[in-house]
Amino acid sequence: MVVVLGSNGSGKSTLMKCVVGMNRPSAGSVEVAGRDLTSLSGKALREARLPLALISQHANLVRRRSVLANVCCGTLGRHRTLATTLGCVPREEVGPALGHLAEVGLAELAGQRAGTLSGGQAQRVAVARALAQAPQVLLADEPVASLDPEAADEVMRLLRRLASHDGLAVVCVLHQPELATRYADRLVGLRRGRTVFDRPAAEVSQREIAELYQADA
Amino acid sequence: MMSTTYKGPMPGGPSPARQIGAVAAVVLIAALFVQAWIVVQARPQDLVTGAHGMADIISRALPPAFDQFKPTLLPVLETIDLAIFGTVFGVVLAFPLAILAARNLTPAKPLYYAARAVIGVARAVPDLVWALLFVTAVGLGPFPGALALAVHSVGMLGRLFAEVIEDMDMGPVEALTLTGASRIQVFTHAVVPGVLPSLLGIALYRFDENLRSSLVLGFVGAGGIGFLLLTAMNLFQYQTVALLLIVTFVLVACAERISAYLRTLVA
Repeated sequence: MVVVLGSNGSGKSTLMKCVVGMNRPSAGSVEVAGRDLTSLSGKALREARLPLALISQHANLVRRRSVLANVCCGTLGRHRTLATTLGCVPREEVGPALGHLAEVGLAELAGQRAGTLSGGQAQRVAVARALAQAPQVLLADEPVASLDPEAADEVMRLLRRLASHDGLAVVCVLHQPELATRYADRLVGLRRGRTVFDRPAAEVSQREIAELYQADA
Repeated sequence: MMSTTYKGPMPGGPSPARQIGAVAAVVLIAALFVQAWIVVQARPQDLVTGAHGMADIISRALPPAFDQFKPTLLPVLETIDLAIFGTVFGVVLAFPLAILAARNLTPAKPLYYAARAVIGVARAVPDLVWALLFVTAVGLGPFPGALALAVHSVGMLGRLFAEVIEDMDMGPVEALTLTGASRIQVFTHAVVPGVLPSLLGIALYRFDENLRSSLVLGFVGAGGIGFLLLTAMNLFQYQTVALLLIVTFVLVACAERISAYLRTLVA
């Protein structure tokens, strides 16, 4: 589990957007399984980034659909049938989707409308939707920024478990140094668009982290 | 403590410039109203002298000709069907146009402008004028009225639909795009569930408006109760006119209640 730290405007979110191809980097490349995402567009880009799942600060669920339907939507990239094009969720994915919901501890809410969930629950459903995508890398852009401390902790524990038990590579952009040091294996510090450190979390000192947030002299 | 000097306008009392502006606005509105009074040739005294004529009409309209109720049933159905036809075709045509005319979903700028233009023209021409045009084209009867309602509805619905689509939450659209869903899948799975309730509400409201419009369309020969009303007026059958007005009132009131109820269901 990699955590990227940095103050506002240090380039954390830009990094994430470049990785998934929402922004084009002005230099450099993003390689997924040997293919450079920055040179792709349209359909080729959509297919090349299938191994990447992104969750962001807001859960971005479809509020009027059920939790289960929202999770099933994560699989649409693999199902291009007429039925899914017309708005049906792929039937064969309902079982696995329930499994993913159980994994995030919300199986009992499967039938509820996504709009009725609390922030923490919604974010965990977003994680389940990302899992339904069957990714190799789970990217998280400030996944807990709008959650209260307890819900934030719950989401972070979930991400941590996915990284250590399910062998998923988790890259998480965070605002809060204390969460970062608690959950990360590897810490990356960004300041004004540049990497300041990139080391195992245990080797990063509090002073180095504090310097990331210092006002520019 | 830091002390700062603030040079902007103070909250509370308006500045002198704003006071002058307010006075100018009041004078301008008054001037506009005076010219309107002159141009419409308003003669309040005629209302007083005309009271006698009105009383005469009312006395001749009473009691309403309730024995004429049965012959109104078919035109009532015609009026309702005009509204149904106009609303259904309006929705079917307005929805794709609205997608092209919504800035956040339009596939290409030229299509956006083309769709906006079509919607603009359909809306700018009143349904009564559309009805006159279609009566000339396809002859008298309910059909030109239905066409007129459909075309005008495309204009009204197209614009409102496009606004709903532009105001929707783009988060789920972004999220689904990133899961690898195709453009059409994103549309059916994120856009449609997001906007459908609002669109249904607007369409129901449009039905209600179309029903009221279809009453008037009869005046230009496009069928329905309006046509009966016009005929009765021309033949000085004021008791029939009274009945038709009662029927109209009940019809519109019912449609309003039903459409309001259905809108609470889809909200």
